[in-house]
Amino acid sequence: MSRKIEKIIVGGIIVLSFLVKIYGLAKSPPSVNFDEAALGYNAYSILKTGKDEYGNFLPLSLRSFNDYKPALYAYLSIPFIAVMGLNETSTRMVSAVAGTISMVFLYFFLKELVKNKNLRLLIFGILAFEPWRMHFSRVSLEANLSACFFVIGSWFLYKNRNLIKQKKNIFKAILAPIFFSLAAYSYHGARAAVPALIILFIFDPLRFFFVKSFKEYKKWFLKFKVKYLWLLVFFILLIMPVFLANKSSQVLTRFRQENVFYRYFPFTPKELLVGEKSVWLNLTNNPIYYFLGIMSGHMLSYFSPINLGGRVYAWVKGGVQYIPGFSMLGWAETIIFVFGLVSLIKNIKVNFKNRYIVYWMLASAAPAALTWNWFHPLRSMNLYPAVELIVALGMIKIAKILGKFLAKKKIGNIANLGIASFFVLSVLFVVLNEYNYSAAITHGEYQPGGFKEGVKILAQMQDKYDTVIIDSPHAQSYIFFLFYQSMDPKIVQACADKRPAPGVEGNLNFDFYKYKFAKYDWPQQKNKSKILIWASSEVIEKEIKDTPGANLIWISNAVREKATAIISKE
Amino acid sequence: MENIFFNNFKSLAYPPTEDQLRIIGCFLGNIWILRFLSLVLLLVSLFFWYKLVFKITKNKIISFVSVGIILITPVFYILWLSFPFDCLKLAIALGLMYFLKNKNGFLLFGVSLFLVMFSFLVTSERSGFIHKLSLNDAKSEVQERFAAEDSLIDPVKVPLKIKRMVYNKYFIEYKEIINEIIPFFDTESLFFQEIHPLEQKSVVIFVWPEVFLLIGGVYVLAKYKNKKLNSLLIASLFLSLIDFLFNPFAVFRKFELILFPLSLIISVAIWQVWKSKMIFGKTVGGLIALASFYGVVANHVDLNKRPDFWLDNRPYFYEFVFKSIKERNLSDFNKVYVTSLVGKTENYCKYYLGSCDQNKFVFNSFELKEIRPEKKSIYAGFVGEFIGSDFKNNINSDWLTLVKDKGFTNLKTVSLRDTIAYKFGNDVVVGEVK
Repeated sequence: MSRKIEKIIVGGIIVLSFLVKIYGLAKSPPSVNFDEAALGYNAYSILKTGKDEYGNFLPLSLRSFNDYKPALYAYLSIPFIAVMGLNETSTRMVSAVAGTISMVFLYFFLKELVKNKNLRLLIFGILAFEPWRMHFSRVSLEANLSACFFVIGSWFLYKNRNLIKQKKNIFKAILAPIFFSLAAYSYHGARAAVPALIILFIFDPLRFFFVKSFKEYKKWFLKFKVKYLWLLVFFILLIMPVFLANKSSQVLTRFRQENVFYRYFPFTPKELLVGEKSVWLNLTNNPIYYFLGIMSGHMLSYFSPINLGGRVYAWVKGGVQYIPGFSMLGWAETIIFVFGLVSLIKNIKVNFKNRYIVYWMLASAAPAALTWNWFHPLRSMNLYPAVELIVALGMIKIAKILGKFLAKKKIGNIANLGIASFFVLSVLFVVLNEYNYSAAITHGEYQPGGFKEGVKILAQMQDKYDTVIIDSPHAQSYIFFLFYQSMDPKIVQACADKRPAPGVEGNLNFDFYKYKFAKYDWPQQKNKSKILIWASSEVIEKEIKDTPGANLIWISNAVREKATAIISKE
Repeated sequence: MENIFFNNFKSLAYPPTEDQLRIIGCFLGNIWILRFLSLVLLLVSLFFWYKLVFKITKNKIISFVSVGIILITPVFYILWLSFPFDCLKLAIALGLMYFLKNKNGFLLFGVSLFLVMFSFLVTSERSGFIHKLSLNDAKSEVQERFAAEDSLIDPVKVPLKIKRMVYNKYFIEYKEIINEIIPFFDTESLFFQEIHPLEQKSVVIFVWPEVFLLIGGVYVLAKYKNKKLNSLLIASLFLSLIDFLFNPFAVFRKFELILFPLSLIISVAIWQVWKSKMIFGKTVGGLIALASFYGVVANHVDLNKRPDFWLDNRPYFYEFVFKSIKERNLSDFNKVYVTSLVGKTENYCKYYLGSCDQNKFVFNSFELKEIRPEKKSIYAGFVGEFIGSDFKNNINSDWLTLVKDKGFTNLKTVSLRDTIAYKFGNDVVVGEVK
């Protein structure tokens, strides 16, 4: 196969994958979730005024729900919102594009691993439609954008490692830290993952297992590796503005809420602790043993096939990271991953590529491992391309075994056709699963129904009324009213002083324009005039109909269930 | 003396399991004779494993360490303590592997057949894998998928013919089957049971530091190819998978055969650490081996401090119920009602009471919320059966008063750690009405 044909096929797979990712983007997932709405609306606000919803001029972090989201996703969304308006598609486009671009660099890595072109293309075709790629590229997620930059940075770090050392081509050499810093500007996790990867890359600790003395390692390190240290310094300089622009305590808000040290202390099950003065002095069930176990478990959970291919944890289910019917990988790929792990371990000494994949995995898992969750796909999204490379190693291994076997049986072509057809069906299942089944299953709590359908109706009616009462069980539902009617940012910015202070969690709704967040209370509210009510609590239809001048519109969610009611009273 | 012993080794006081009661009659009703024979069977399986490994590796250290790792693991201890059929299965399976070692194809077929047959003969329960083979689950999932997608008001448009290509019972069957296989690669259950994220009911199989030795062992085995050793490992891993798929019991019992190949891989790593000249590898490997040993000791201490956390609580329930009944003069009562909420009660009745008059004993769940209990009767069951169940298992904290108000006297109660009868509370009550 000529290089030209290879390029055409690769280009075809990438284009197809992009089209599949953007097809029906406005309908699946059915409505934007809280974070998507926040990213989209802040992008819109910056587009219109140069300021976020709080009136901060060109911020590096979006205060949003007092969670200080990295702002790069919002900035990159601006062109799409400018062209397409503020809607689901324009808000999700950055993620779809990022998911597609990262595939290009996945292919570069595959070229390093798989020498056989046909096999490489088959592997690429399969990996291009992995469930995690499909799912996370169809939702606005800073983590997905960060993963894209992280892959690019990883590629340049790996590919230009000799240039970096020799400082031969300074432009190429600085590409890695530049893309890594973009990853850090996109998502919190990369701010820890990148330094971890650079440090692992420089020190190459696995190599340490194979040297006979520390002297030997030191000699090798000083001769070959010490020159890379500038990478780390350069990266830190590049991301310094994030920490300078915000108080570091604000940037670390999420970590304080979620860290493993606080949640699991004293690590040993309490019934096994003897004496209350110092838990660390327990002889038989020492907390250090359990703490190291928890940390090892957290790290290795990202290498665990069952986590990658089937098990869904409680904190995953019902959230944006839940892919119904899957975990992160396809089913067959999960089994193949096991073969890949064996292949990875086998050549770990001789092959820097293999060690680099391990460092990639460890560095990407590290930020997630420091939080209390055992396995958290969203916080570890930088590592899935590395997982895919391990799957590719497994596929090479299986292809070798099958190749030998099939050559003997002389049924190679039929078998190849069978295998290709099987994977085509698997890809088709992943795509269909994502389009509609996933949409039907995941609508609800984190992407509540009714807002997409109802806010536009409310917006058409509200001019004629003095007050709009919003009764919503969600702590941040205000964002949907901003997003779905592209509310003038100046109105929102004018309320910044009235909003909950930084650090406040819980209910962050605030009154703006004609909107007042209050409980639905018809016996009282029916006496008022020129009032419009958005009621998510139980509404008794008869009570409304019996009230002169009152009217009721039921709004359903994505699956035809009553989600909310708009009640008007003249 | 006996009490002091059992206070320090609480797990040894674990009551007989249903498995043991099925055959305890053949051993004069003595649980310790049965446990001793179970231990002998497991030692026989270890003997075959040692011979098998030594024959291939010609290395006494690897063979001994492999056997030693199995010998000290908590799951080995629990198997002879509570599961005689599992011990028998392992002894026969390892014996077959030893005697068929030179006939590769026959070994795989013969031992697989034995494992499948054994799973059918020893219990009427069937594993999830067997249920999946019927295509019924696949058919239901196809219907469920179509129904879910049809519920969307505004779905992404996809032609029905394309949907039908994968939303059919055969493709979904593939999904169902492979989803039964993937849990075989459950590193959490195999190595992180001490801190399992799902807090599932199981026993420690390997301690967490051993996972690093496993990785080291895989490296050594993949690097220095020993065809015979690798064949043994692949064959025993395949047989472990068969056993895993057909075994319907708790996860540590599904994984009992994999103890053998994984212990061998770990022992290869330990042997490599032992003879290695790489100073860092040797130091780290040695520390991990020490940590593993510490972990095994820590887990045995844990198992003996809180056996009810690790082990099935149903035998505790039966022991408490029938010992409480035994303390009473049964001739004073017309009926004895014993709940059947947690399984077959008759065997336990015979074990603890000798004989159970069928006219007197009623083994069934009862509901006394709305009715008065019969006079001259003993009732033994969960608190929810006395005062009413709760959908979320939240039973009124003042339940003891409520039970007494129903006329019960001479009450004996115990609170179980686990919820074994959901909706009926964790407290067990034995009381009488005069």
